[in-house]
Amino acid sequence: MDSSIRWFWFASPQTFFPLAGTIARWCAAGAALLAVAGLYVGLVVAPTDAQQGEVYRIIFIHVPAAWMSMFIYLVMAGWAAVGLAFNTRLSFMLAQALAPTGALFTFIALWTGSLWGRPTWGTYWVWDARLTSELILLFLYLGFMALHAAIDEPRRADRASALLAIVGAVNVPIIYYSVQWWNTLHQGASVSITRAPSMAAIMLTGMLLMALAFWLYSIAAVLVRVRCMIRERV
Amino acid sequence: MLAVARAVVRRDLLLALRRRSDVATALLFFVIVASLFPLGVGAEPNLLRSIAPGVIWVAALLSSMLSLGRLFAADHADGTLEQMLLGAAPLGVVVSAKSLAHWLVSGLPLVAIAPFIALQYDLAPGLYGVLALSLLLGTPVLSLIGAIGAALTLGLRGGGVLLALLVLPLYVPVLILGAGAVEMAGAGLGPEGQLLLLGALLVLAAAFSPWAIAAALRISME
Amino acid sequence: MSHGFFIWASYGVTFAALALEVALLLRRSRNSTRQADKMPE
Repeated sequence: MDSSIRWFWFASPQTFFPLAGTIARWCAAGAALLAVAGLYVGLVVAPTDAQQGEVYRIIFIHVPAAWMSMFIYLVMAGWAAVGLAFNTRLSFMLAQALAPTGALFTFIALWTGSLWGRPTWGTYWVWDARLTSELILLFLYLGFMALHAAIDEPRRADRASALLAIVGAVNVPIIYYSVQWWNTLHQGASVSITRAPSMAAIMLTGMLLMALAFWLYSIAAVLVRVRCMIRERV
Repeated sequence: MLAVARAVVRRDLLLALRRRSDVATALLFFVIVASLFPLGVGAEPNLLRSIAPGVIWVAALLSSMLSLGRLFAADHADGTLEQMLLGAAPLGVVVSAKSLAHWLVSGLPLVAIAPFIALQYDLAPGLYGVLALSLLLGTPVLSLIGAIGAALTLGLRGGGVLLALLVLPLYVPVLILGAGAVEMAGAGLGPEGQLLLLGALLVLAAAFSPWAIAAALRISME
Repeated sequence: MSHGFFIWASYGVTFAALALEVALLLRRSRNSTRQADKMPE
């Protein structure tokens, strides 16, 4: 059927290659612009917080990075599922390309969360629900990459890590809620590090701008990586 | 189908019986790990009583994980696994049966041994039942989820450690709920919530992991 | 440790990490292009 031919038109690495290049370039430019806008709002426009002073500005990196880390994992699992369902090699390549960027954002979320915790709550590591979930998410990313690296045969490596990604994705909500519950049991009524001061609209704008900047950056980085993989494998 | 399952369970149990030392070492590991913690954190009774559920559960996790390597390795080495993939019996049934046998040999004994560990930690008497029940519900989940990891890492170099890296994050909810149940009971708050959730996890795992394990085996054995 | 330190460390490491990813990607891109050009089509 004609429609199905068009669906798989870009599933071929050869046709996808130039498209990826074009999209990557535009997203890189967009990311830079949005980052400038977001940093301006976050560092210049947004007022000093009554309770936390200037330190709360870390939120403009921490929260968008955390969002991206979770979003990228879902997209990664999505492409893994597509790869297993349609047996398209490019889908597996996309999943592989997403992992390092996702892991990087997870690390950034953990790093900024830790540095936010020190001046606010006194310790560099706070076992609150989000940070702990992020830590487990980092392990899931690293496990995905480790499994792929441990298998020599490319097809088995792609498919095994794809299945792992899907199993992980199914588990992520379960992990998140169990960690949430665990956190309330052990911390009692103490305030969560991630419960930011009531969101002024300007703070939300800053976070959204940075989130969009990170998102476009991720697309650009991932597509460049896929192009490298296409060159290396084809 | 039931006949196939029964046959597979019987076979795996027989094989495990012939290699009793393999089974025993995993259980011994459970005891040793649990004994290490007081050596590390000090033997203060109140401290031990408070960390007992967590320690026992972590030890159970690690012991269960160590024994997962055995699940498919022997059959893979002598070609039986290939026959299972090619055979007429649904692969999902076969792997479910293998996971059940694995649990009977590696998980169920933990339920029996745990009270003795709890004794070492001077766990409050009323909590023994909750501890045993939480392990009874949780260890099968560990076997099922672990089997997915074992199937994915079949025959890989560095398999054991890699398996740990893959499977431990997935074990976290079971750990939280299992240890949490005992702690809730200890605080007088009633463990029903956690135990029911553990039961739910067991049902989910029993329903979905055979499919995942079978898929993982096919991927590893192509 | 002034609050400024934490803000600088957060933004700084983030920027450095992203810059590192970009640098590694560009290097990989250059290497793969060179390798692909060498291969006889």
